[in-house]
Amino acid sequence: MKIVVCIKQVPATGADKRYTDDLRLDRTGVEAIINPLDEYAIEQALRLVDAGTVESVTYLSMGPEQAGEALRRALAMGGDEAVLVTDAALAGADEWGTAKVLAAALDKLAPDVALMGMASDDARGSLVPGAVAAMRDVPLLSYGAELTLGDGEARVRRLSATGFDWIAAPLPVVATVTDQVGEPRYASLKGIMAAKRKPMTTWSLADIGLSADDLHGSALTQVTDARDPEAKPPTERIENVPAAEAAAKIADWLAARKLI
Amino acid sequence: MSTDILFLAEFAGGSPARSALELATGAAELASQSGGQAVGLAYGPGAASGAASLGAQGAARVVVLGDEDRPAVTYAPAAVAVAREGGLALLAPATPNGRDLAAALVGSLDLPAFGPVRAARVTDGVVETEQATLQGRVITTSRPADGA
Repeated sequence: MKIVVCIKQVPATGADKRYTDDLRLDRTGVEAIINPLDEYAIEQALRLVDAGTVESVTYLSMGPEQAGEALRRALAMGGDEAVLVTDAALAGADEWGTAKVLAAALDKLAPDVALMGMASDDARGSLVPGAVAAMRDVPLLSYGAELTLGDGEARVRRLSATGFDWIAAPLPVVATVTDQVGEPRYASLKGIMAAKRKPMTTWSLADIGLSADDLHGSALTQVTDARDPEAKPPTERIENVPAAEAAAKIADWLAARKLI
Repeated sequence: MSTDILFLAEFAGGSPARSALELATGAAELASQSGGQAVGLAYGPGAASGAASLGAQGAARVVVLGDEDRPAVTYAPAAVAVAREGGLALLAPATPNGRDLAAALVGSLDLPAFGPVRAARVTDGVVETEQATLQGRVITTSRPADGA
């Protein structure tokens, strides 16, 4: 059985993040990492390899050429090969454009499971997996705390209001997992050295049967403004006063904001 | 082109989720700006009997996609069929179920997607949105691309 894990390279959590003058994410000179939530997808895939359920793991990413660094880091954790879809026409791609590209690449790779993290650290839209599933006309099994495979189907254990549900669908599927999968493994020195020799392929849009026209440029959306968030008002502290007086102040504060 | 504002209304345990009521109010506000109606797409246990409750929150019409207790994404084909009839925008809750359904609509109908949104308004006949991106460090304003 074959899994393709889709990963995204994102700015490091503590990095200085900003938009360029043409309102695109400025990736220059910014430390980049594997999207933290994608590491759980990597870990889930590798656990299935360890269990003997899956024979091969391929990593897929869409981004500028530097996204290849994230793919090498993933290969250092485990897995067999990587594919990077990169094209100048993809600059400024939105969630729809990203889904369109990933869906086309996945159709070419034809995995039993296309596995992703539940969200990206930068945009947090969480729409790409579901859009990919719809575009490929395959089932979506989302927000899994665990993924199992067997008998021609995939199953995820998903948190519900009353506990956990198991949801199943016939293969092939798109699946997403959460941090409940368990801690991602560290890349060993042996893994890091081996990753350098594992095959990495680069595809352009033409290689996956798409053109810039198919992607409406690269997006169906446009950013028209980017600004700093509003400054938060100073924190009000009520302390060193009798309890009754404190309660009255709190009540006045709530009433002023029409919360009571 | 329709100026209606659609919204996803999830029901659980016989009652509308809090998000359903909030989105009904939000959709009604946007519909007042667009000149259309707020139209709810209700699904989940209690949707059929409880759809009328969305009217009190501003929904002019509610389409019941189904009221079985099953994963929300299985209601996607029905939601796509309704959305295909037209609308200026569709509001979805930023919950796992809401995101799954919204994503299915984006992928099936090639729709521009914005989210999670902290504010929305109708400007020059299109829905303009605000998002807090890059872990809240940047507030962006977005709209559908020209021709989208």
